[in-house]
Formats: sequence, C-alpha cells, structure tokens
Amino acid sequence: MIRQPPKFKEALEVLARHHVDFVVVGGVAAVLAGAPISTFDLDIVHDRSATNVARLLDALTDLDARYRDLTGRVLRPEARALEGDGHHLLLTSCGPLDVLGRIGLGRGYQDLIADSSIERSVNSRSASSGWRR
Amino acid sequence: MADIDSGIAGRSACLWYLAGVLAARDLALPRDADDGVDITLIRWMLSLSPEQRLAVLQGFVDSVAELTHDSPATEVQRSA
Repeated sequence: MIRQPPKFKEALEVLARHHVDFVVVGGVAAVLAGAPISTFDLDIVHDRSATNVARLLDALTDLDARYRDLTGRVLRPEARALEGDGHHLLLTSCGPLDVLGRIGLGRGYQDLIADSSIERSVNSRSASSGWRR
Repeated sequence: MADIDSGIAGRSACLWYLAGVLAARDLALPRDADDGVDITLIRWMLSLSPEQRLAVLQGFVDSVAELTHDSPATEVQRSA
C-alpha cells in the first residue's frame, strides 16, 4: 500500500516522456490559466488515434494505472476502450488521473487543441511533445 | 521571483504562497470584485508562470497531506 498526495507535474512528465498527445482540462487547467483554486485530480483529453493510444498505454503502464474500483479489483485500461469517447477514471502512482475521450458538448482532442494556449516540452529534445491546456 | 521546483516542501510552498498574497495586497489595488472573488489572488496567480502555478497547487495538496497524514488524499494499492 502506498499513501501519497497527487503528483501533478510528475504525471504530466510521464505522459510527455511517452510523447502522448493530450490536453489538460479541469481544475489543473484552471490553475495553469491562473485561477486560484485547488483540485486533487488531473484530467486530460487524449488524441484517440491508435498510435497515440499505444503511447498512452505505455505511459499508463509506467504510472501503474488502474480503474478506481470501489470493490478493490485491479482493472487495467485497454487500447480498445481508450480509443472510444468514454471517461476512464484511473488511480495511478501519481494520484487520480481522469482520461477523457470527450468532454462537454462532445468535444475531443482535435476540437480542444485549437484553443489550447500553453505547451511545455519536458526537455529540449522533445519539442514536439509536451503537455497542453 | 526565484523558480520553484516540484521538490519544494509543502510548508515552504505555503509560506511562499502567503508572501505572494501579502505582496499583492500591498499594491493597494481593489481587493474584491462585486461577486466577492479575491482579485489579489487572481492577480498574484497571473503573475506566475504556468509551471509556478502548478507548483502552488502541488504545494497545497502536499500541505494538506502533511496536515492530515493519517488520512491522505490518495491511496494507491499496488498490484502483486
């Protein structure tokens, strides 16, 4: 059993290290935009293409991700499910992570990316990868 | 303002947070909007880089975990 608070930056860095294309939404996105609020989970909308889902699964494996199952079962996310537009409420080694295929009004990654204004690369050699809000 | 990193201790982040809020209030700008929102907090957050804003949030959750260490916000059970 590991007890720890969420580690937002570390989770984002794992996703970026695996070159996952995603947009940060929800409370963390609000904080990144300057809102003085707090939250305890990280919400992302991911690109649901097969190649990106494969990268996402690698990242989720590194994060020891499993569904937040109240009965204690260990259920791991799978590619086919992540390619859909549903919500995946996961618990990881960096805290709660909600992986969302679409959010309000049915908007997916491609719909959101045009309005995302911050991109950060984890290191100078991965300029094309990063996290966005 | 010095760059802050994810390794900063929660308590230090709180002190840094309070120092920033007090500094923002010293600017003698209107403190509250009509809806009661503390504008100084927003001004201060907007003065930070996105990475610093994330560190503020991290400092908050770390502080909460430290204060409630017997009932942390997150429990992660590793599979065998």
